Amino acid sequence: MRKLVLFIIIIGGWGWSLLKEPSHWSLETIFYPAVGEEKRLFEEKKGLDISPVKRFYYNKATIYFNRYTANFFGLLDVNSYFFGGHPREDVSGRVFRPKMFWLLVVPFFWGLWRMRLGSKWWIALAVLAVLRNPDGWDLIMVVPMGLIIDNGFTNLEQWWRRLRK
Amino acid sequence: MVAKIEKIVSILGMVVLFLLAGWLRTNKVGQVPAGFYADEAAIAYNGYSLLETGRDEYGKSWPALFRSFGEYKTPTYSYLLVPIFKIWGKSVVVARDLTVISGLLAIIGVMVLAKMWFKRWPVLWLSGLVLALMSWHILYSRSVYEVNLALTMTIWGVVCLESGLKKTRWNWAVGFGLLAMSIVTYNGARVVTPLLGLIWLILNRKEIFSNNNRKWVVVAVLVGLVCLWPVWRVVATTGFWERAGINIFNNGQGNSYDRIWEWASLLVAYFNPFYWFKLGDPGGRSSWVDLALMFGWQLPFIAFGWKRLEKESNRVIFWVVGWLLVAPVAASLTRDPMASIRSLSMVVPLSLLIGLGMGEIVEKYKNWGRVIIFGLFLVGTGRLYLSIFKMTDYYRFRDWDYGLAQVAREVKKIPENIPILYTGKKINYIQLAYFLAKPLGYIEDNYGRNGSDYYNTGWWPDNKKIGRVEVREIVWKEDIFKDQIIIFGELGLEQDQANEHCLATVFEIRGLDGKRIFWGVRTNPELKRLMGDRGCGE
Repeated sequence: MRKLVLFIIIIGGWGWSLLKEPSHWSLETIFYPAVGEEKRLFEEKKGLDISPVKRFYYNKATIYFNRYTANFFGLLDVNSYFFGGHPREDVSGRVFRPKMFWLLVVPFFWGLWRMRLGSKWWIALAVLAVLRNPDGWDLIMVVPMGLIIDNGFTNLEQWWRRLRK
Repeated sequence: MVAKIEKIVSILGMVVLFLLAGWLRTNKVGQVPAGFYADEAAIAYNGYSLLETGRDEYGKSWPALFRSFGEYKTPTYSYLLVPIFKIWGKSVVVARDLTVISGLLAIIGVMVLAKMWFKRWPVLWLSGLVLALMSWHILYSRSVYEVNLALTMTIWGVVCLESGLKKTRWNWAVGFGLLAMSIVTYNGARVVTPLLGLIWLILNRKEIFSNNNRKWVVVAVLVGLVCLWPVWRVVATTGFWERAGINIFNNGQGNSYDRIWEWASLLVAYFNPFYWFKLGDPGGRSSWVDLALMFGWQLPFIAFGWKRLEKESNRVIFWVVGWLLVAPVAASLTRDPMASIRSLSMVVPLSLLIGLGMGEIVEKYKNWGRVIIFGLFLVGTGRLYLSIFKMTDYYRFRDWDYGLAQVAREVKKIPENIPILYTGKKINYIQLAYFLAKPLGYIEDNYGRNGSDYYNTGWWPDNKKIGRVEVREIVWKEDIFKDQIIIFGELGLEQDQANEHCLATVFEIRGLDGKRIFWGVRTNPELKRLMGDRGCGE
């Protein structure tokens, strides 16, 4: 029952934000050519060192790698899920929408203790990060987030019972 | 035979670890970060001033807090620099060496904690290695900030408290002394250190308050109180509480609910993988180019470490999780998102967690685990080398106030009878004072020996004078009609203005990107009067 209520609360908040500010649901990937400031900065950094070390870190794959890691860690951005990206709404290229009621962050962190998430969620995350803009598609994260929050409530309940004894 | 080989490998490993940690912290420490930021210079100058005159820049004799820019700096770093400058002389390298040594001691401290809590050699080594290669810790181990000193004192304070439970109880007194000193050394420690002390107290309450140990507790508390002596001297002044004023509950906008929401979002940011591995600290002086606080590949090891932690004793869990939770409390009260300087204490539990996770992999996959971890550290070292030594200075030299040492060198070349006006950033007066090595006597007229109000007024005059160098804003209508040399910052003077006011170049200082960042020009009052508004042309 609790799981169902939780699921409704989370999907309700998240879904409402998508209705209010619809996502583009774009399937474009990170493999698009670099232009403008991104390209200029990359070229500038490439020119700052001539050692072989530089070639390992600044090569053709670097721009894609940077985009991928930005998306991957962006999908793990706890502040974007609970606080609409606050306090860093200044990060460019990201959509900040408040997805869940912020107080759920307490059971979320509590739920990380003794939590077993299947590797399929990590794979889902890794795949989502390939998209140029995962906004909207990241709705899939409702499930693991909900499971963690649910586990958090279970942990809190146990802790509270132990405290009362 | 096997034991002997293991011992040799251990010693060799220790040597390599410290060579690497030392190289990342000492290599070009005077030039990287390029420049000597005003806060660094203020700490160093006050140490130098104490050495030369026994007074700080304002003329206050051996103060318990330094008024500095009106924000009241903690005293320990400046005081420790007094004997160091006496022995090795005054320089940027020497000033930064103290934090370098402090950083290396912190690594040893974390290794000792890892050994005490996890009792496994791989975790000891790997925790030390993680901290040695953590960009977050390296940054503050290469720049003159009190926070790194305070962190090392905190780590060793906890080591002493913990070891006092098993060995001689005298360690408690040393531990209390070190923890008290960390409070004297850094403002943020006033919140974090007592909370860490509370963790220790809760975990060991039975032992601490047993009849056998009472006298040792009394001794330890007394030592702590004595070490807090500089705090007692100023605790009732506004200067002591000045930094408390920046917390969001004092300055926040909106109602209580909004402020709690704001604080919660700031606190959560300190536990956010996006900030740890990608965004880092947005401040120009708080990160290296293209490096966040930790390497992205360390995320799975935090997860493994977290999982492994569940198998440890409740005591160890309480320490690691507790430290992780209390470390950013003070930082989260300020509006800066992910202030790495104020939350530096987090590097301890994070190093231990990553080390624990890596230890798990090494123990599970043996040689393959070792190879993978060695490879990752190798990749990490290369990344650090490029970011720290090849890239950061090019992009961040302005943040670190690069060029003022060169300005001071040019000033020294100018004949003594020519007055000089510096019109760059107001705060740069302290770097000029430091690099010109002017003792207090030169500037006392400007600052006065206002000892009675020293800790309360926060007075910071607009116009300063270091010898013949005035530091203030330019008054165009007057200053171009005085025979003097005017030094402008990067945006202070255009070529057209120089032509219009008949200003002749005396020197130029260029930044690491080749652009002019300081421009020293000589006025020509007679010619300017003669030419009037027409100016002097090309």
